[in-house]
Amino acid sequence: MMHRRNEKREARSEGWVNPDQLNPDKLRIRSVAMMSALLALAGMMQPRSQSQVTSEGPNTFSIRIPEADQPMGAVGRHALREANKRLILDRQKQMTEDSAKLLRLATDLKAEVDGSDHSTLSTGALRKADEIAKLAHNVQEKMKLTFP
Amino acid sequence: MQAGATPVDAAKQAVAAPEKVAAVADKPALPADPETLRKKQVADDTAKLLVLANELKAEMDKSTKDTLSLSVVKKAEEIEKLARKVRGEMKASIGN
Repeated sequence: MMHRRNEKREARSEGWVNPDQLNPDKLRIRSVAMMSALLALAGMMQPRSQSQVTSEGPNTFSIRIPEADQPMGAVGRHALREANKRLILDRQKQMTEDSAKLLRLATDLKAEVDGSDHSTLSTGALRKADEIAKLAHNVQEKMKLTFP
Repeated sequence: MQAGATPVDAAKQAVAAPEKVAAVADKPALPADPETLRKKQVADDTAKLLVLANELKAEMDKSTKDTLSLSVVKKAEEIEKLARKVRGEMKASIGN
């Protein structure tokens, strides 16, 4: 008797409970909960209707989205081409403006350097030189972007 | 500067007159002050910067959306380097 009680105590402390001693209602609820959890898991593993899951090996899966495989229609291609053209034109305009601004700044800087005795070179001249460098960098990058 | 000459013309003349500099260098001159040399360098570089900026503008005006002007890229790169150099020289000049 004593021995049996000890066994029960040990089992409870380890987290194991003898199913015979559980309430049958509780058991039913547990099994229903377990089943629904399993079903939910199975549902998550199911492929979505839009995408297709294909197995290519024992442990590899790839998801294919049908829309991505579809060839772009003529309208889509035309829109893309137009957008690209507009982008290039905008960039060209910006580059022209940047180079005009750069020339203006270089002229100002030259006048400032010629007019000063160098001991009076202002921070404005420094800023101009800095801005010239940035504009030149921008022109370079935009030209490279337009013609990669 | 001559009457009627633009700042760009003057800058071009200053850049394209190495013989004058050589003639001055031939004379037994006094040891140049580093500060004076730096000032001269800033003036020369600024003149060169203006010439390059003018050339870049001309190239940009010529190029179309379908043409990559390699010289534009090269000139812009040169301008960027030169402007950074001028900035550094000016900073050193102001610091002294």
